[in-house]
Amino acid sequence: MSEFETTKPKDVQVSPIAEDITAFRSRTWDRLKFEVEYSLQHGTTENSFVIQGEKMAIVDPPDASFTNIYIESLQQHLDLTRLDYVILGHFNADAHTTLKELLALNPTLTFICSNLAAIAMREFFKDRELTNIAVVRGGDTLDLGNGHQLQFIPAPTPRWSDGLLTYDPQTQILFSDKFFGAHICGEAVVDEAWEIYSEERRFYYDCLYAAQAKQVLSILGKIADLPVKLYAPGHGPMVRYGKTPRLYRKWSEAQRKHDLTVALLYASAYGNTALVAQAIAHGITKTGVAVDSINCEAASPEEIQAALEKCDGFIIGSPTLGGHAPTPIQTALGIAISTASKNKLAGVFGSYGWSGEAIDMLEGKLKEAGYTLGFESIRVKFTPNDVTVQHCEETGIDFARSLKKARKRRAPKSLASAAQSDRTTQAVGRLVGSLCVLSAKRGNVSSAMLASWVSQATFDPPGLMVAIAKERVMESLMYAGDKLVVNILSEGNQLQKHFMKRFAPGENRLADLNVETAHNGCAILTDALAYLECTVSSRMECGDHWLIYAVVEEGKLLQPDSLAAVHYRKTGSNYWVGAEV
Amino acid sequence: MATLTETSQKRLTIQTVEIAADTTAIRSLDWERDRFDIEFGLENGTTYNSFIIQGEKTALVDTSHAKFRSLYLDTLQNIIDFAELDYLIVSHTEPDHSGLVKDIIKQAPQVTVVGGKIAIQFLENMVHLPFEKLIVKNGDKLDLGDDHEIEFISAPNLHWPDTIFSYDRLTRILFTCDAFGMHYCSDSTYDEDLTVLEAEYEFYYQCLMAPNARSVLSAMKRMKALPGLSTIATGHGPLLRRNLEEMTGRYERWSQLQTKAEKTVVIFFVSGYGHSNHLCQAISHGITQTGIAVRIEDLKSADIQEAWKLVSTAAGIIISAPPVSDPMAANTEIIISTILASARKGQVFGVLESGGDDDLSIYPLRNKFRELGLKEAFPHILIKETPTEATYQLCETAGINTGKFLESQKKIKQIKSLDSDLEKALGRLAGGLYIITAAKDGINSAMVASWVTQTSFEPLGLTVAVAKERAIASLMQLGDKFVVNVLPDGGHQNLIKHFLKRLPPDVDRFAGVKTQLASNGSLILSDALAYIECEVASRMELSDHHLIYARVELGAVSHPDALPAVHHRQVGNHY
Repeated sequence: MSEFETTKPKDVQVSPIAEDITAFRSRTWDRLKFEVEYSLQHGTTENSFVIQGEKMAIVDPPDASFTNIYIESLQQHLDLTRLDYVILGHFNADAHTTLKELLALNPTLTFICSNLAAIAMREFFKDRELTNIAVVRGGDTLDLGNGHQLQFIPAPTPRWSDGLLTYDPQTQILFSDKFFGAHICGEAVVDEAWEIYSEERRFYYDCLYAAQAKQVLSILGKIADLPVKLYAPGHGPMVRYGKTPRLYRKWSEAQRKHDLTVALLYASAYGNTALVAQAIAHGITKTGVAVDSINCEAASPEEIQAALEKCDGFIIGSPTLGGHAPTPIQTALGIAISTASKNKLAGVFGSYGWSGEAIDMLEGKLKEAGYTLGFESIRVKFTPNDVTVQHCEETGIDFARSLKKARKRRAPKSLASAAQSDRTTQAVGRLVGSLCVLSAKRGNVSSAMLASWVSQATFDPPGLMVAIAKERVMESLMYAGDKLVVNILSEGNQLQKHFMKRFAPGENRLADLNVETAHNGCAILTDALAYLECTVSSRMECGDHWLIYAVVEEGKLLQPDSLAAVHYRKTGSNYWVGAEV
Repeated sequence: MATLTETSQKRLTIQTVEIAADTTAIRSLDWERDRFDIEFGLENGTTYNSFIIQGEKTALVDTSHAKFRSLYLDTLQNIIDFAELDYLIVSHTEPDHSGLVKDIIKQAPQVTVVGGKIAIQFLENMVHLPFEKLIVKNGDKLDLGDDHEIEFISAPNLHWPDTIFSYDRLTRILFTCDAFGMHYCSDSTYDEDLTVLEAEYEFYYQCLMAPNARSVLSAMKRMKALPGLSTIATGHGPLLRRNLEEMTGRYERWSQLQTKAEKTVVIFFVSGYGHSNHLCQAISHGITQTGIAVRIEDLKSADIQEAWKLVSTAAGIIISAPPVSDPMAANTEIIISTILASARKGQVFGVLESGGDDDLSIYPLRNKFRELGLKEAFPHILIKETPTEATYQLCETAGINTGKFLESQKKIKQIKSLDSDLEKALGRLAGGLYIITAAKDGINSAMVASWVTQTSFEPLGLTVAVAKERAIASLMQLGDKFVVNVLPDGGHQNLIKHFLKRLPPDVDRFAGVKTQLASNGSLILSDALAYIECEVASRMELSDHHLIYARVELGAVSHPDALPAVHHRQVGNHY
């Protein structure tokens, strides 16, 4: 079954959110795109806002997939010939059909955007006269009358170098575009309590902003003094609680504290390379390694140089345009080779249409210069899909783990101070658990792993808890509503050996095993002692792991005469050392 | 009421803040409130909130605890002129809010005291001074001028029989006194961060409101008829504004859950006598933890018909001894006869003294229940001295045992019927065997556990699933410390047997067990294979268990070569 299958038609929800301000939320209950931040598959909304003072402005029209229903809905509620301004939080090539349509209906309207967005727009609308663009800078205001004296706050990030936030002091609404959003579709226009969508919001942040923490902090600084009653993001419900910006700060500060950093340099022609970059970055940040994202088109050579000097490894991604890497990537490569020391682990990725010469060129030049490549270069033809995205994420995890290992090898061992902590970890090692193989599946993506930090947690409904390291691939597949099978292994079973080896990114974990498909779609190992079909219900952040609580819906004992394999360890400092099974 | 043994070194401060037009809150901040009443379990202090509304006329809503006497009166005097105080609205007559009513009446003899009928009666007995009074009932209005029209909403049993809410139509503030409150002392006037408050909020609800869930629902129905709320001005803790809808929504959900519970235990206490109120609250708190509903009734004011109805449908009956030589003794005697007449075989009962120096002997009462064929849910509780923390813990445990006993009747049926494939498969999930020990305020508790797993490396951490009805669950709040004792394979049976035994509430859990003191104050079992000292870092609430994630602080293995005990089960519907 494809995730793009439609269960409920798209629509536009219209709702006033303050005096003179109406939200037009284009809604879809299906997964809209392949970007990793959509992978929870809870649908999304693309929020656009109309401000009607004496003059009328629209903020952030939606992408092409909503153009028709959106324009229809606007026409039902407004007289578009009265429209004066269209304000863009960033320019998105996908949204240009909607912009074109608005322009056709009202040729005198003026676009308000940042300078970089204006450049990108002029490029895109080559065939038209686009004279009506007003470029705004930090501190500029726009008076719509009735007290709506809009203020503009530039919010450049590597992913959206043309980002612009809009603040209405009259209603104290901050139109925050990508910030504080969540990919979730539902009836609630405003979040009734901040914790309702906290999981989706956190996931959204982890996917989009964890790798841009530096820029997030600088933008949070710019908006810190604004009295805000409501944050109006481009996706999901409006945010009423100051808790969300506070969490953005907390999470971003945590990212900045990691002691390993990967510089991720890229340029993106159609957004595909950026999409791959983001999936790799998500894998790296999950592992507790920071990412310094650099958009080579917007960053200065000094910034690129500083990032390469500071980093512990670097990855370069490029599209191939007319058989070449674009100039900013060539420049960045030059800086990398002259700046980054040779012991820094490197990596290459890119997307392309016909041939991927840029990827070959990057790979060749880096090898020639004496760098070791941390993974087989990723080549994505045209647009990536969910399986490619998972592969990229696993590559990121793998790359980060290699850096961690290298760091560990180099770190001096402090034996004396470790005595008490050794005693403590030995005691923790005496906690025992059943050896299990977890298998999960969502859409086309599936995975499996060995686990022993598993225990029953409730009677009614029957439920269990399992702790999963944040850096695990499986972690992404264990959000509320996700399906899971827990295969309990029997004493003396050799299955665990299969899972103790290191898998390459994208490698099928279940190849060569006896497998059946459970009712919930996940894999049952038929050689297991018993299996339990579960649905994830909730999760709690516990240091470097997530504790997942899942409700058991079905189960079967396959080997009534066997006992469960118990995982005895000598220490609680790692999973397998000293393990006797 | 219970007398407080306050010392003057405790930190007491006052916060004055304007919360709406003409409306000022005077919050008495009690930073280190003793853990005395059961509902102060989480030890974050408390506040006593009082409010002034200044229309053309001036009204004071509730006062403060007597311990704030001079601080409060001085503060009040800076805001209003006592000679111009027109009304004193008394939401209910529990001394912590009305302790200074007499002082106000002395300073402002012209003031009219506004309250429910019972509240005014209570006050007459407390104040012993003549005062102007205005008895109000549900729907009555009082116009203070300048558009401040106050409407009264009757909210009996939240959590006193005489409670009224006051609603100001202009500012849309609802003054609720104990309802929607919590014992949480901080400088924040409002509920800024729900995550910080929610544990306290729920704990308070479970202690004070859950036993009267039906009354909560009917009061909330009346609240819904009001034209919208801007703020709930509570008598304890922060005022609700930012998360108002979410927090009232929770009250409603919890109360609906309570009223849906299949079984009810009815507790008869005696208001204003001995320690009856607090002792019964502790028992009630124990019972509600097991998912069984509680109704609390006052022997003094109970209605015969109502008592008959309650007792004949209840699964359990608990009576706190009434005074013998009280003017109300005739009524309590009739009610007790009614209870005995409607009690029947199959129910459980419990009796306790109230500690008021004039208690009716509980022995004849106990014998009568037994003759009727009722089973005793917990050994009768004697109060020989002023109750201490340990007394309340004992009452809570008695409540939990009552609940467990009633639950186990249900479970026996469950175990028989649930022999499904799922349960067999789930049963194969093996775990270790552990004794969890915790200590707080001189109380040592222990629990046998198998549902424990390591959860993190950095920081080193583990998670324990604790059934909600366990007494130890209240010693495992955020920041609390405990020890996981890992039992060795072979030779663990005796320890398990010892700790599984149901003990009378006042017997020492650790008698006859070799122990040593851990650095966090809990007990280490000397016969354990290893021990792990932990501090609770976060909790997740599930249907019938709490998941308690704790950071490991210290630990050691005493027998490096021994294997830990493993618990293999056949089915997953019991431990």
